[in-house]
Amino acid sequence: MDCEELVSLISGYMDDDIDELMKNMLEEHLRTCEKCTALLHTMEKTVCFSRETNRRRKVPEKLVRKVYYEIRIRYKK
Amino acid sequence: MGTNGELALVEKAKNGDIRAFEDLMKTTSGRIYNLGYRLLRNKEDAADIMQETYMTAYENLPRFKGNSSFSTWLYRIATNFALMKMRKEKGRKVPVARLKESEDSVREIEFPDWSDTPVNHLKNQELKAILDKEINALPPRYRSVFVLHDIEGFSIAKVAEILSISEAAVKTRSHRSRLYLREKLSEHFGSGGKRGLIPA
Repeated sequence: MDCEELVSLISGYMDDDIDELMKNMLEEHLRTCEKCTALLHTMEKTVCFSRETNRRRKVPEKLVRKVYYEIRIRYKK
Repeated sequence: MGTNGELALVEKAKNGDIRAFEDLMKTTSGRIYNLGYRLLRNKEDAADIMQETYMTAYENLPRFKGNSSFSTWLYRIATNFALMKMRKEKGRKVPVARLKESEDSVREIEFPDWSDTPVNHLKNQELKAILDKEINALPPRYRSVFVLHDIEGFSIAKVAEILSISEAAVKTRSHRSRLYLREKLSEHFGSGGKRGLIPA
């Protein structure tokens, strides 16, 4: 496997969505290629940072009550 | 809540039991609100998405056939509303051609490995601002895939189901979004941008 092939498979590898043979070839390439190893690590860190900076927020209780109220007044028979 | 519990509540709600619908809201509103917030990146739009989603869901309950789970159906409604809002947004959007360029250029460049940057770097508001700005600049159909897959954590198959697109399209958009955002963070962390070179 060369660098170009690895780039096209890297997201599939991160998602564990490539077959075992490709996975082995990709890991073999990573063992000898610093550039692709750096690419993989920085891709993983990008996803990790994106999650960390988008932590769950608490839904405002007032908003939930507002939606309950809207549904009740609009649809109550 | 299990699928059976969810379905039982859906049936009751279909028969006019508003309390059953409120119970469904209780278990799903956190995720719907957060999905809206992450897609639109502000409280006002997240609140609008949540309200529109539940009003639409209640009105359309008779049409819900249970082919997908109730929560997947809600995510689909919420994402569709969010996509409509995203398409009206003003401000910078990265052209799709530029995302393809990130994919092509990564094959030719060298870059430093900044992946050992400590997590406390997250305290850096600058990093958050960069990510917010760049995620926001992704074209709607890319942003929706990135948020659903990489931030919400839905599988490729589930994202395809929510967005009614093929799994291949999800994979392509996810891959290009990740490469583009990685490139933008690389620019932040040093000379690792599109033209960055590892010092000899």
